[in-house]
Amino acid sequence: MFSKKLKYRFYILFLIVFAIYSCNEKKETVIQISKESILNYSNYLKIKETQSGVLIDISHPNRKNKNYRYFIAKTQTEKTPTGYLRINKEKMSFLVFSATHIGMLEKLNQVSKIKGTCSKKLIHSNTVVQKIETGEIKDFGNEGITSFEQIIQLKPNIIVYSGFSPEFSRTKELEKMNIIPIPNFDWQETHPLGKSEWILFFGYLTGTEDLAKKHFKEVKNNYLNLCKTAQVAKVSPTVLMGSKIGDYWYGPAGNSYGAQLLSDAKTNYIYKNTKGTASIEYSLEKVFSDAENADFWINPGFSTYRLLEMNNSKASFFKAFQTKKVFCYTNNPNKFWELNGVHPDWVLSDLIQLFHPELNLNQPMHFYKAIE
Amino acid sequence: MCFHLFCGQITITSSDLLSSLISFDENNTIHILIREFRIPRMTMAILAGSSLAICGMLMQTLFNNPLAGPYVLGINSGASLIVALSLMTGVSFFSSDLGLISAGIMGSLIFGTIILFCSFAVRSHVSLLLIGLMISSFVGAIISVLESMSGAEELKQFTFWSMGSLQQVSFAQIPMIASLIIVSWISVLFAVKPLNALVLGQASAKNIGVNIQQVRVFIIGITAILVGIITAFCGPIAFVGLAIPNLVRIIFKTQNHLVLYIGNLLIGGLFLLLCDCFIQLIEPWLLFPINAFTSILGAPFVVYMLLKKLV
Repeated sequence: MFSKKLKYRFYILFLIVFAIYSCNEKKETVIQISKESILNYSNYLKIKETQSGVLIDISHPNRKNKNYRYFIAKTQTEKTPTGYLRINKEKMSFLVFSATHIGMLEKLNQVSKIKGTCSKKLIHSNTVVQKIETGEIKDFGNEGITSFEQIIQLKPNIIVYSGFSPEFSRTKELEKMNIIPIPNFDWQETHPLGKSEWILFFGYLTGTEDLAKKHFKEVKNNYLNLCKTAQVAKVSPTVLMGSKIGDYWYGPAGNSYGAQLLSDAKTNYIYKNTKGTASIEYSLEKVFSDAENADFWINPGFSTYRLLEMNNSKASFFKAFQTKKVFCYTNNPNKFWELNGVHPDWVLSDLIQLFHPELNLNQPMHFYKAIE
Repeated sequence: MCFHLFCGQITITSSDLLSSLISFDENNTIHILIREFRIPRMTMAILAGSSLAICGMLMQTLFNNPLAGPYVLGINSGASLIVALSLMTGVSFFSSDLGLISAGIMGSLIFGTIILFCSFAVRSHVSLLLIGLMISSFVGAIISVLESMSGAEELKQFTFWSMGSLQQVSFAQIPMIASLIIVSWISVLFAVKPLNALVLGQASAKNIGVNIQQVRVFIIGITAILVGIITAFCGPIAFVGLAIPNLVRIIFKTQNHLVLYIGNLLIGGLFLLLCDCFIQLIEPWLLFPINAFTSILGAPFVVYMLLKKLV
C-alpha cells in the first residue's frame, strides 16, 4: 500500500516526534519531597521547604482533587517541579481583595507591595487608606466587578482572592501575562490558628517568612495559653451565635471556626453538636426553642438593639436580649475582618473576658463590645 | 388556617394553642412560639396573599390587561426603591413601622402613577408589560448603586429586608397592619360597579356615567396602599398578584367584580397560606424563602395559561 520510501519517512517522523516528547519529559524536574508541610493547623494550605525552593499547595475546600500548586525557587537556575506554577518573588506586587490579607501584609511590613485592594470602605489600616487616597494603591471596589483592564494596567505579580467563586475571572489570560491569581481559603479554615497560619503564605511570597514564623509562633503560644486559662473557669455559659437572614437563622456549625473559638473560650455553644464545618441553617422557631434561655448572644450582625429588633422582630424574646448580653464586633467591623486572622489570640481573649470576667484577664478588648 | 398553626419544626398540641389564647404565659416557650411566631406568620400570609391578589385584579381591570399585576408592572420594585432609600438614610423615623409604611406607600404610588401615565401613551398590552419590566430593571440598578454607596449596617439592613419574609411582623404590629389592610379591602367594594363597567371598555364606561379619572386615581391609590404595606413588612412577593386573579377568573368564569373580589380575597390568602405550610413542612430538609416558592409555582402557571390561551 505504501512505498518503502514513504514507510521509511514515517519511521523517521515517528522517531523525531518520540525524541521531542522525550526531551519535554526530561525538562520537567521531579523533586523528591521528603519534608512534610511545615504547617500544623491549616486544612487547605501546605507549605514544604525543599533544597530547590518552596512548594505551596492550596487545596479547594469543596472540590476534591482541585489543587493550586506554586513553586518559589531559591535560585533562578532551579527547575520548576511538574504540576507547579513558578512564582518569581523578585519585585513582588499584589492585588488583594480581602481585608484579612491586607492585615497580614501589613503585619509583615509589606504594604508597599500592595498595588490594589478591595473597597476603601472595608479597610481599617490607616496606611492603606492613605495610600488609596494618594493614588498609590488602587481601590477596586467590589471583588465581583473587578476590571480586567485595570488589572493589566497595574500589572501585579499576584492577585490574592478569596475563593468564593470557582475561578478568578480570566485566570488563563492573566497567567499568560505573568499575573498569577491565587485563591485564598483562609476563611474556610475550621481552626482559628489554621486561618492565622496563612500569614506564612504571604511570608514566603514576600521573602519575610522568618518574620511570619516568629509572629505565628507568638500568636500560637498566646492562643494556647488563653485556652488553658479559660479551661480553669468553673462555669460554661450557654451561647448563641449568628443571626436571622431572610426567613432563616444562620450560625456556625459544630465543627466550624466560630464553634472552635467558643469551645476554646469554654462556653456551651447551643449548636456545638451539629455536624459540618460551614454554617447551620434553621427555622427561627427551632432556634427560639433551642436558645431562648442562652446566656449570651454573639455576632447578631448589628450594633444596636433597635436595628437588631428591626431585622428580627423576635429578638426581644431571647433572654440574652432582655438581659443585655448581646455582643458583636460591629463597633469596628473593618478592624475585626482585617485583624482576626492575624490575631486570633485577640479574638479569644475578647471572648474569654466576655464569658468569664471572673478570670480577670485584664487585657484590652480588641474587637468585641456590647451592642447599644 | 388551623392547619397552618400546627405546621412547623416544633410540635404543638391543641391544648397548647387553646391555653396560649386563653391564658397566655409569657414565660412559657410554647405560648411565645404560638403568639409571637405562628399567629403573626399566619395572619401575614392571609393578609399578603389576599391583598396582592386583589391588587392584581384591580390592575388587570384598570389596564384591561390579564398579564398586569403589581410585581410585573414594577410597583413592588418602586416600593422597594423608596424603602431602600429611606432605610439607607439612617433616619430613625424610616426604621419605625410608620416610616416603613409611608416609604412603601410612597414608592408604590409614584411608580403606580408612572405606569398609569404610560398606559395613556401605549395601547399594546405587551408594551405596558415591557415598561413595567424596564421600571423593575431601572429600579434594580438604582438599588445596586445605593447598596455600593451605603454603610455596612444600612446595607445589611436593606439586604435582609429585601429577602422578604412573612415572619418579620410581631404580634403587637398585627392590629395596626390588619386594620389598615381591611379598611382598604372594604373600600374596594365601593369600586365594584365602576370596575364592572370598565370591563366593557373605558368609552362604554364613560357613557354609562363612570368617572374614569376618579376610578383610576382610586385604583392606583388602593393598590399603592396595599402593595406598600405588604412590601414594607414582607418584602417583595412575586406572582401572587398575577397568577391568582387569572386563576379566579378561570374558576368562576365571570367578569362580575363582586365575585372576583371575593374569589381573590379567599384564594389569594389560601394560596399564600398553603405555600407557607408547605415551606414549613419541608423545612427539615430544604429551606425555601417564600418569594422563591411563589415564583416557582407562579411562573410556570402563567406560562401554562399563555400556552393554553386561557387569558
